[in-house]
Amino acid sequence: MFWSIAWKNVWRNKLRSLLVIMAIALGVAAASYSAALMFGMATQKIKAAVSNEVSHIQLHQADFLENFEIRDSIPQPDQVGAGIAGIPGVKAVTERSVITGMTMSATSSAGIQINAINPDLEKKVTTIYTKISDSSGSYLAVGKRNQVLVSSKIAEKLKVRVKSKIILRFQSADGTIIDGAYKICGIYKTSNGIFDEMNIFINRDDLSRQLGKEAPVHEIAVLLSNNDYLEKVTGTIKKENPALSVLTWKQLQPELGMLTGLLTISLYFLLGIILAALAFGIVNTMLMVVLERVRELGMLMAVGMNKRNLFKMIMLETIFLSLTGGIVGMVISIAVTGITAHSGIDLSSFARGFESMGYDAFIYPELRPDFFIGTVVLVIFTGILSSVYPARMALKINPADAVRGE
Amino acid sequence: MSSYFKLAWRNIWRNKRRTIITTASVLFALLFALIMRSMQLGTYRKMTDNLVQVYTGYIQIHKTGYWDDRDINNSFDASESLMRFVETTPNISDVVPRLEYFALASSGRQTKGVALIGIDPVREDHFTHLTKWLSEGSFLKEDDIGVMVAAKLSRYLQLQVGDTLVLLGQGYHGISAAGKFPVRGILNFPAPDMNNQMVYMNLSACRDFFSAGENVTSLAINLVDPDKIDETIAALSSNSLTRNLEVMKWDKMLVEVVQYIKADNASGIIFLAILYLVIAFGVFGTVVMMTAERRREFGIMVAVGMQKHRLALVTIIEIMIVGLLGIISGILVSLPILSWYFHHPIALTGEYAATVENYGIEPLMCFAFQPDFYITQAAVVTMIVLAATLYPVISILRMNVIKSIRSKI
Amino acid sequence: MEIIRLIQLHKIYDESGIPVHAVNGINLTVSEGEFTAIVGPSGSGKTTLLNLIGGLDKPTSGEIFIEGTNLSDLKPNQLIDFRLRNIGFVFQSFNLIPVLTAHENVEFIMQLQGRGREERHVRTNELLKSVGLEDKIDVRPRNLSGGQQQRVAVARALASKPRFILADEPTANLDSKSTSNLLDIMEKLNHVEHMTFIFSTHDQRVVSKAHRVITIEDGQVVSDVNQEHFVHKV
Repeated sequence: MFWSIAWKNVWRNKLRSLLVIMAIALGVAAASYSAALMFGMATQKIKAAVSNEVSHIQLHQADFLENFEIRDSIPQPDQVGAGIAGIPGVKAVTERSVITGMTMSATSSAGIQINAINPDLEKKVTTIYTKISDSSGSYLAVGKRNQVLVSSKIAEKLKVRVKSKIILRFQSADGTIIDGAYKICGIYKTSNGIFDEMNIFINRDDLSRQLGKEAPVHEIAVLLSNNDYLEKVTGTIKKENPALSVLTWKQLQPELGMLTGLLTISLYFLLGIILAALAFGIVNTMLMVVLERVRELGMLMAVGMNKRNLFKMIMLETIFLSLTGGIVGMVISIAVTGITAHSGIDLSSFARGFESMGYDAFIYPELRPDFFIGTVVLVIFTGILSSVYPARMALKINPADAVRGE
Repeated sequence: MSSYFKLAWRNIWRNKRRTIITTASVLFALLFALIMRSMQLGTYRKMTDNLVQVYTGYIQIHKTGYWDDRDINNSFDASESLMRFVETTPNISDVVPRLEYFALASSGRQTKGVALIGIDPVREDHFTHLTKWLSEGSFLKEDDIGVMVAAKLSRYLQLQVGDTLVLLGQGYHGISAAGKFPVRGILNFPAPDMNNQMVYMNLSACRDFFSAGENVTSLAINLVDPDKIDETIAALSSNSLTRNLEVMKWDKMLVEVVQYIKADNASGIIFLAILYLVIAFGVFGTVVMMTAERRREFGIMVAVGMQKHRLALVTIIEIMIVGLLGIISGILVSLPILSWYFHHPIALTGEYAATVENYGIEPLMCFAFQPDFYITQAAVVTMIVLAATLYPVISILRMNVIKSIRSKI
Repeated sequence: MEIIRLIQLHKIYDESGIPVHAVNGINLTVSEGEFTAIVGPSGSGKTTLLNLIGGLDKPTSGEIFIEGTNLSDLKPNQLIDFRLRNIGFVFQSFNLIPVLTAHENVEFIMQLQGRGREERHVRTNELLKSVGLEDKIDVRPRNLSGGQQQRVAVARALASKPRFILADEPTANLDSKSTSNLLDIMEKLNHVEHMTFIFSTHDQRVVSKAHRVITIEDGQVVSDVNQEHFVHKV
């Protein structure tokens, strides 16, 4: 019953209430939208990493990731791959040979990681084939010999272009140094400069030919239809392949795994600071409210409203005030997010710095329901905390003094 | 004038609670802003200091075009006259010559691309404190023909102190480079990319390996007073000895770090803007309510003979005093806090510390303690408070005296 | 039947260092069905006396019994509850909650008491009718005249079914027409419902309608007159 009184009381002094509500709305909207931007950035980074670099799950021979030795390959990779493909939730599987080596052009050389792949399978798992611009050639094609796909960073370093020839050099299992001449079929560019610097792609068939036998498979990458399947599918794969190392993207790139968590914590912290700043204004306002209504409150206590009810009434009024501001703020941030989510926000002037950290220069803000709810909870909490002091002031009112007519 | 102050001062304390709360809100915002900026600026400083002082140096001299194309063929002859010139330029504390290039390292079955860097061991250690990372064996001596290998690299190549490292590469003008070198020591770097690929050699041995004559790829320079860097660069560039060379400031070499700092700085400023906006609303709200409450009183004061602009002045003084109380108290509270943390940076721990170290930065949360951000923040808050005074001033100047006296309050 | 008994009641205030003996040894009983005025000049202590009877204030010494209950025995929360169920109040002004309509204001007391929705609704309509405001049910206080507001206050005071109603200068802010209106209603309620009214006033018109007049001066009762037979009965 106090709910309706509290609500109506909020609107008694429209000017004052509107000022506080606008302040809260502004603070919440700004914080909320910033959060949306940062979440958008994080999601994109993760999506990019999963689609271009690590996929959802990767399998290796148990020692492989230590030293990337060519002989630490996965036994019976096709069987393993087929077994995984059947698991519900798995969208696609691909197999790769991964070798560290060197690449040389006429003018310079660079250390790189050679990824020997099956282009058709690979296209289903990673989206690197989409990262080739129209003027930069094309992806590896099955059937064409000795093609190599390099990144724009490597191409710059080696000073080569599409159709240029480069030498790939690596050491086979028995120690022999093997050189191969390859022609650049395309140049790719992802948003992660670090990845680009190290990775080139060739056809596994070409590698097999160079080795004189079937190229060993060092890495099986799995793409899921939805990240929600991650834990379950990983568990299943581990059970069926106890001897292999099975790692999720969170384990392969731990910084990325922690990213969302860290971000959420710091965003809540910042939101907390803003709400604390707002709390001052709310307390001030409610104090004014209580002091103005001393006689009315005295009257209520005289006719039989007990202290708990009085406290409740004031607390409810404070909460309504805060919540109204909070909701208006969130509506604003939803609206702005909606508008900017389509086109994205362009940060190309900071682009280089971002790309070196693996972020895209275009941000698409993203609202997260759990953060949203967290914001609402925090706003209510702020209202509750802010109501304590004014409510205590109200309780101190002596009805006799208050109603003594003047 | 002093009577205005007296009037303003007493007026503020009429509603003690409101004044205290408004002051507290300004204090809170300012304190938070100062601490946050201190942390941000301190961290940037530490980041750049770590990377600049311990690796790139504040200034580097290369052959023009080297930085964009770090090929051995873009090395240059560091003649004695050049070295003497650089060393005697004022503000220069250290100069180290380096010859860096890519090579292939091999030991038995393993081969790997490495970053080979020829140094002057004594000078380099003085510059970057390289001996700090020595985990096994001994540091290179002058005229040593051995190498020091990064820890992870040595594990990959299965090398220990005393073993032989085979290096292959492409030297100056395409001449093949090959050589065997005894491993003298192992360096364990926190940053994994350094730990994976660095091989250190004596400058002379490196020059031999790459057939690079008396060349260096870079001269790294540290300064006595970093703030005078631009003057020093100008001094270095103005000599004929450096005509075909580029004298590069560190921010061009650490572009990504600079961009990261720019972005983080911007986000910090945006957050502060939001915070201040919120406080501004708070102050403004208080001011509006106060004006509304005292409508009658203002009317009476003008009616009995006070000039409107004098009344407005008193109100301005009132609001400014409240604002200033908040600012001054905020600054006072911050001083001991920031001063303490400036001298005692917070040590980061756990996963977060490891991540930071991976980038080559010390895991410390440093605080800056300098007048510039103090002045900025205080100025911003003062502006906000001043802006808030506009409302009551305009209200008073436009006031209809009779209506005000009749108003319900 | 006696409902109020005051024994050797004293109340001393401290007004900026100066002790004020507002109630100075009052002994009094009030019986059911009374229509009693407490009269005296400003500062005589009548408001203080009313506050003491209503349990809004604690006596310095002496005792207050309401229907056998000694108010000093009640803890603060119990006191509030006691007031809710036993005493009705009509103040000089600020009786009503501004954001509620007349109907809601009357209902409010019953909600506090925890009465059911049906009962509240029916009784509210009855009460507002009995004070002649059945057509102002959904009007907010700011749209009611002073007299109408006081009438709603009376209806509200009755709503809780109290043992008696205390009214502190209920007509002080009203014009003569509203004053007699209000008094007529109070009198009618006293006659028909046997509701006990105790009101303080220094308005002669009001005094003339009272059945018993207690005069207070300097915190003491100086006269206690029953003038029922002089009053024109409704």
